[in-house]
Amino acid sequence: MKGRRTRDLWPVEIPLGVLLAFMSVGGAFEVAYGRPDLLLSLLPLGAFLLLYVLRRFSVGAA
Amino acid sequence: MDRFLFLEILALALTGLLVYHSLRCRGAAFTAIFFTGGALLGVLRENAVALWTPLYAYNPATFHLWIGQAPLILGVFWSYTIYMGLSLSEVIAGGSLVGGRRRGAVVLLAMAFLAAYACFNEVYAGLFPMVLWKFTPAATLWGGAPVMVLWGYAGMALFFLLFFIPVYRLRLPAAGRAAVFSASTLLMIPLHLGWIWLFSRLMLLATR
Repeated sequence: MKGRRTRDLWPVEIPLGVLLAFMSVGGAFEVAYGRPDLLLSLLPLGAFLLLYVLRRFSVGAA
Repeated sequence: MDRFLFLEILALALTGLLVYHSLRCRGAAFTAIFFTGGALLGVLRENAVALWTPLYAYNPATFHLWIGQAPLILGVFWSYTIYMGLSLSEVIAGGSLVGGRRRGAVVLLAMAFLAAYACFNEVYAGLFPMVLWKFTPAATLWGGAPVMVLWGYAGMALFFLLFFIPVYRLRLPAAGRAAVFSASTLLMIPLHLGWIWLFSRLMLLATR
């Protein structure tokens, strides 16, 4: 990416963060109504993002 | 304000941040090609699916802004999700799509991101409901979202990125490459529908 550092990724992380926050809150409300599906469906993306966060900070620390 | 109208406007606004990132980190040519092609792909594909296939339709009671038979938000949806997947995948793989370093890993990770994204996006779409499913076979994940959508999202990332790479490297001005990439969506759409058809055949064979 033309030598840009990973810290420059904030314009990508904000839309993803907004989306996840919205879905997590919505998912929590759904659990309250006895429908855990939305919250459970966040797990695969959560695993992907965990990998991203681990990699991002290991790159940032290097 | 209606919740879905708010979401449609929010998604369009957040796409602006991705375009800003692309302009700043990848340049004007990349941005023009990627987001113009993505917009055309979304609008054409979703209209084609709604008009000519038995896969699904968008719920007219949910969306407010439309282009033909597709919600306007589909004009940014594919470039929005694929761009996020691409950017995160490049960090994880330590690679670059256009630079060529670990390109295979970047594309595979982007496909994995799209499949993971499909899980919650389609569950949300099914719960509220934004989409009316007509898939066969109808094997589902959480919330009634078809298993097929994971395959479909991953395939869209694959075709989009595989078409993008050679077009980006053409020795043409940015506008010319954007036009070529936009035109290539006419090839991407039937290929992607074929990719979905292949999965449905495999699923039917597996469940026979």
